[in-house]
Order: sequence, then structure tokens, then C-alpha cells
Amino acid sequence: MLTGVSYVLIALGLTLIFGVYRMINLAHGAVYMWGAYFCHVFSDSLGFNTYLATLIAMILAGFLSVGLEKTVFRPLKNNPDWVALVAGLGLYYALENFGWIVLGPRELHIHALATQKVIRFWGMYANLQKLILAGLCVVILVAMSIILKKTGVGRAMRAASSDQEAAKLVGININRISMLVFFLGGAFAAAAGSFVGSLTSVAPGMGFRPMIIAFVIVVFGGMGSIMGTVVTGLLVGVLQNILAYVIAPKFAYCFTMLSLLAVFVMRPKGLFGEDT
Amino acid sequence: MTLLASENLCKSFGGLAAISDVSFEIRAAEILALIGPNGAGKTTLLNLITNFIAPDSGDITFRGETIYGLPRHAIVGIGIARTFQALTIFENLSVEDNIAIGQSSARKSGLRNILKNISNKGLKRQNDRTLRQRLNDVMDFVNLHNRLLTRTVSTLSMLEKKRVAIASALASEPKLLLLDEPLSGLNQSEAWELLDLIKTTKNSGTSILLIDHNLEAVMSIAERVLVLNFGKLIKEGTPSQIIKSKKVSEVYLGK
Amino acid sequence: MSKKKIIIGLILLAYAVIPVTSPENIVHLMTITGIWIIIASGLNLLTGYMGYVSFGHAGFVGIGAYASALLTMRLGLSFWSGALLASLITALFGLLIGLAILRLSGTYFSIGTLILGEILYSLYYNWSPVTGGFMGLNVPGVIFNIPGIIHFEFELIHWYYFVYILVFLIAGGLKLLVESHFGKELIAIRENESLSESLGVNVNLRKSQCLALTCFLAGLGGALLAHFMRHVDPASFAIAASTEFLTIVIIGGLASLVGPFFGAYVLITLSLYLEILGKWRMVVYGLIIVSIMIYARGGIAGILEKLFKTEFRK
Repeated sequence: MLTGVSYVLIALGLTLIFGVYRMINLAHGAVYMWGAYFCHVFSDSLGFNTYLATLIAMILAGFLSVGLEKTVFRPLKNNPDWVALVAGLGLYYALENFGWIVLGPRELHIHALATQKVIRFWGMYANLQKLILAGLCVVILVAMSIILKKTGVGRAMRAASSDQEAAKLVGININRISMLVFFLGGAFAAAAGSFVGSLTSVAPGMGFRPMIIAFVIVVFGGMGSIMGTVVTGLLVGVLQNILAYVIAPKFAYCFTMLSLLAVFVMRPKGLFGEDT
Repeated sequence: MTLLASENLCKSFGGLAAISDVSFEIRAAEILALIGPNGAGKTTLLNLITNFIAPDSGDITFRGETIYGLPRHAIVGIGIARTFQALTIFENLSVEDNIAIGQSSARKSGLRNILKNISNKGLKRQNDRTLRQRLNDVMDFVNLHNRLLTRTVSTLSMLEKKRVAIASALASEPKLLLLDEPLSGLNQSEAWELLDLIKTTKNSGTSILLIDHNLEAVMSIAERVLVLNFGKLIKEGTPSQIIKSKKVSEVYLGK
Repeated sequence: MSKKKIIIGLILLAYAVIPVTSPENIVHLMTITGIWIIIASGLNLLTGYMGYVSFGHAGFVGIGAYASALLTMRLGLSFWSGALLASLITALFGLLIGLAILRLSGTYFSIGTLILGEILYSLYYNWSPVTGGFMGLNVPGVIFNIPGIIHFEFELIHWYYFVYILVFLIAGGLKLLVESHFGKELIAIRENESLSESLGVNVNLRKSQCLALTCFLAGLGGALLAHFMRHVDPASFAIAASTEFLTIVIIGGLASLVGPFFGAYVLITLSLYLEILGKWRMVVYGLIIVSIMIYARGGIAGILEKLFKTEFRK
């Protein structure tokens, strides 16, 4: 379940970015990892409260993400798709390896009391930290839904998402919306990373696999569709857990990817997608 | 002689009937115009003829054989070529490359032919020379000067680009050429020049199915006209018959 | 004799002379680079000419490597048949997987190859009984044997000449292919797939053929690597390797026959000089990729084109 929820958060950021930017951001996985690292720095090295550290990490990661947008993605906007794709890969590569330099071979961990606590409700036992993550995810989703539907900013985001040229014509500042979307994307990824880091560990390569899976989720759920992303993300999380249980855990990832690839190929437009 | 015939053709998109029970024929070496208000289904009909989409029911036959199930590239192989409503060519490639691609169906590929080519250099050279000659001929035919061969298409004028598009389609030596709004974006004199080209093409033996909103131009060269409205064929006849028809004027002017 | 032919002649001469005049480690590096050129040339066909960007190329290379290693080790085939068979197996795999992934367009295809690369890597890493797991396999050397006449085991110098003969044969072959109508069709597919089809190009067939050829070359490169390095392990076929192959093609210049050459030599030089930087080397790679995307999308070939005003790439 943890996996599903963290995927959802990562995928959510990607969906938002793709919706407005129409560009796949392969560097996102690195932002996820760095978000986790920022959290570690504040919570373990500097002794802040874990949740405060997470919040700080979210903000820092948001800025990192925006920085990437301004320096790399924006200049590349009007180019064939593969250009941004390759640039994103390059960024991811640089950022992950920079992570190796900074983190070194140590395995870092984010300490949160809640990871030790187990709550009992409705006859089930659940890890508190995981519950908090799930709760956070729900809060974010609800907040995003409200923002997108009810606020001016949200409307601007939706407008930019469906037709950039038209949006520009009615005075929407695409650059600002883009920055906002990248910021949110980075923040959500950092949140996911921080929680995963507290429940498992923080390592420089931690972002790669979740990122790929998140992409498939985004494409599957329909690029730009939040609902689709959520449902697909949870489904994939469940799938991976089932596969880990049924087949040897080390093959779980491989088989999850295989099934995703298979479905991807059969329905290139995803389950909920619109025609691209 | 019937070149292409459609019988009770039907196509719907999500409940909306784009083409309803359309039966018509195109004869050899004639210019047939397809007119009708926007959304009448004209482009859909072209898409059905080129197997871009498959009909829900009904059939299309070309030279007596059904085209149902033929892959899109094979349609070119049997002799049907088309241009598109929005000018569609390879902007970043040279004029020569654009037209050469149009010759793809004339080149037999496949392992057997590659081996044949390697073993018989003379034959290959001859084939290449023939295709080369045809390419030059097509350039002449559409009134494009030879020196434009190596130019990148994006540097050409709108009329020149349209000539390239038609040249690419003609490169496959089609029996039937489908033109979707070829005159859009051209001024009066440019339009007449292109109409001349269309006439010359028909005179060389190729049938033309022409869609365009410039009714004056279309009526001036069409031999027969089909009128489509809401996916149905409402009238068929010579240009003068169509002009005089009340049904048609109602469609265009509204009741 | 045309200027071009003289230049090519001189270049070939230089290559022939290198092993005689250079220290062993240089020859070793040159040989590896040569193998990379073969692999990158294949990738260039798919990604540069046909426009389908593959992020998982190392996976295909791995198939050739493991197949060749296993064929020679477990089935006792000679390197010569093993490598050829391995290349064909990889090509066949490309054909089969192509049926699935070639229906995906653009970005989706790229993500699909990324996933495929991951799946293959996972396979190499986890299927221990066959692939030797993360330790990999130790591969036997190559024997050159004409019964009764000659019999010796390949040493570094033999590898060097063998690889570069292949490199230039393949380069020549690709040149013919790319300049033929087949090449034009690939480029047309890259520029506008739908239009190509409407003009009579058998797009599905071409895509499959291209992928099969690309995979053949990848498999060949893999087999060469396996037997030259006398070892295969999964680490050589992870995302890092895929990124490196893609980097080679991009730095050199997409859709340029000389691109893989430039790219491979640049990369090997970077690897050497940045060796001291350790992990920073990878960071620099990443930044190089990004910079090229922003400032010099045509790669080295593109820059040369502007300098010399001759066409290096399509």
C-alpha cells in the first residue's frame, strides 16, 4: 500500500507537469531523491521535527524543480519531444550521481517516531507513518481538486493544460503557471520521498524505479487526468505487492514492469486518457 | 469506364453518422468534384477511400476489386494517391526527397529484390535511371524548375509547396488522385495556375476527385459534381445541373 | 583520386598503424571504442535516422553478450558461430518485441524502451542459474582456426584489427543503406510517419526491419564485448550503459554516419580524463547531454556541418 500511495504522489506531480507543459520530465525522480535527502538533513542532522523537515524539504524540492524548469525545460519548449526527454535523462543522471558524491555509500535514514507506532482500527493493524502518508496524500488530492475547480489559479492551470495558445490569449501567464506546476510537482515528490525515506532508506538511486513506474502510471491514467492517475497508481502499488507475495520478491519489480509494458502496448492511450 | 465505385457506404463516429448510405462512382480520366457545407463528410469520404478509416458497412471497389482491408500504403500501390487539407509535406526535406518518397510504391523492396539488385547491377542501374527520369518528368509536369530539386521545402512559396505535394502524389503514377482543398491559401491567379495543373493531370489520364470551397473554380473544371450534406449524397450531376438545383442552393443558403 | 577517397585512405592507414606504434592500453581502449562504434551505429539508425529514441539499448546488447557467452560455454560453439547466432537471436528478439513496442509513438516508445531495458537488466541480474546473477559469467577466449593451416588464440592485436575491419565494413554497409531509398524512407518516417504511409511507404515493415538491423548490430557488439572482455555481468547493461550509448549517438550527431565515431571517441576520452573525478564523471556526462540538447542539438557532426558547410548528417 505504501508503494501505491508514494507512486500516486510522484505521478501526481508528473501529471500536473505534463498537463501544462506537454513535456515529460525525466528529472523528476532525482527531485524525489533530493527531497528525501533534504528531509534527512533537516530532521536527522539538524534535529528538526520530522514533519517540519518534510515540509521544508517539500519547499526546497519545489524550488529545485522550478530551477530545472527555468534553466533547462523552458529553453527547450518548442522542440521535438525527444529533446526534452533526453535532456531530462541527462539531468536525472547528473543529479543522481551528484547524489552519490554527496551521500556516498552510506545508507541514510529519516527517523520518525511514527514509523515505530502501530495503530489499531477496525480490527486491522496499520503502521502509523504509512497512515499519515496516506492521509497526506488524500489531503493533497482533495486540496488539488478544490484548487483546480474553484480557484482562479486552478482555472488558469486547467486552461493552460487544455490549450496553451488560447490560454495565452486570455492573458494567462504561462511561465508563472509552469513554475507553479513544477513547484508543486517537486513538492509532492519530496513528500513521497521523505516518507519512503523514513520507512525504508534514502539512497541516491532511490528515485529511478519509482519514476519509471510513475511515468507509466501517468500515461496509463491518461496524461493530465488526475483521477486516472490516482486510480492507476493505487492499482500498480497493489499489483506490485501481490506479485512480490506470489512470485519471489526479487522478481516482483521485473514482472510488474512486464505487465505494465504489456498493458501499455495494448492501450497506448491509457485507461482514462484522452486522444493525444 | 468505372474506376472507383462505392456502394451503400456508412460510417459513424460515436453515434454521429458521418457518411450515410453513399453510393457513387468515379470514371476514368474525369474530374469529379465533391462539394458540400463544412462537416458534410467530404474529408471522411476521402479517408474511407484511402483506408485511413474502415467503413461500418458498404464497400468500395477500385478497378473492380474491393479495397477493404488493404493497408494504407498499399492503396498507393494500386493506384490511388491523395493530398491533404492542411498542406502536408516533408518541410525539412528537399523537393527531390519529397517526390522520391512518393515513388516508394514503385520500388519493390524485400530481400529477394535486394539480392537481385546486388547480383544484377545493370538492372538496378536501369531501374534507378527510369525512376530518376520519372522524377524529373513529374517536376516538369507540375511546373517546378529543376534547380528547385535540392531546395528544402520549407523555403518555398505556398504555391510551390502545393506543387511539391501534388508532385509527390503523382510520383506513384496513380490512376486516381484525391485532392482535398488544394486551392486554400492561394490568391486568385495562383488558384488558376493550380487549376491548370489539375486539368493537365486529368488530360494525361488520371482521374481527379476534387474537394474545395472555391465553388467558382471547382465548377469551372469539374465534369461531374457530387453534393454531400450531413453525410448523405443529395445530388449528382453536371455543374450546370448542380447550379440550377434548388436542393443544393437550399443546402448552401439555408432554408 | 578524389579528395574524399584520399582522406578515407589516410584514415584507414592511421588505424592500421596504431597498434604498432601505441602502448597496449591505448590499443585496448581503441578496441573497446570500436565495439561501441558498432553498437552506436546501430542505435543511430533507429534513433537518428528513423527518429525512435531508445533508452534501453543496453538491454539488447546484453542479449547478444549473454547469448554468445552461453552458446560458446554451454553448447560448445565456436566464437564465430556463437557471435553470429547471438546477433541473429538479438535481431529476432528485436523483431518480436517490435511487434509490441513499435506501435507506440514518440515519447511512449522511448518510455517503453526504458521499461524494456529495466526488465532485461532485471533478468540478467536475477536469473542466476543461467546468467550467473550479479557475478556474471567468465567467457572463454577466441580461437582462430583454419584446420591444417593456422591455429592461434586471439590476442589484443588480433582483436583490434578484427574489430576495426568490422567497424569499417559496417560503416560502409550502413552508408549504402542510408543513401538508398530505404534510408530515405526511414527519414520520411521520422519526419512524418502518417504522411509517409499515405505516400506508399510500408511503414510497419520498415520499422521492423530497422529495429531488427539495429538489434543485430547491438547483439554483435554485445558478443564482441563478452569475448573480448572475457566476462559478462549485468552491470554492463544497466541504465547507465544505455545512457552512454545514447550519449555517444547524440554527442556525435544524430543521423550522421560519422557521428558514432566522434561520439565514441569523445566518450572514451572523457572517461579517461574524468576517471580522476570519479563519480563526477557521470555528473559531467549528464550535464553534457543537457548542454548539447540546449546548445548543439546536432552534435559534433552538426557543428562540423556549420564549419565546413558540407553535409554530414541528414
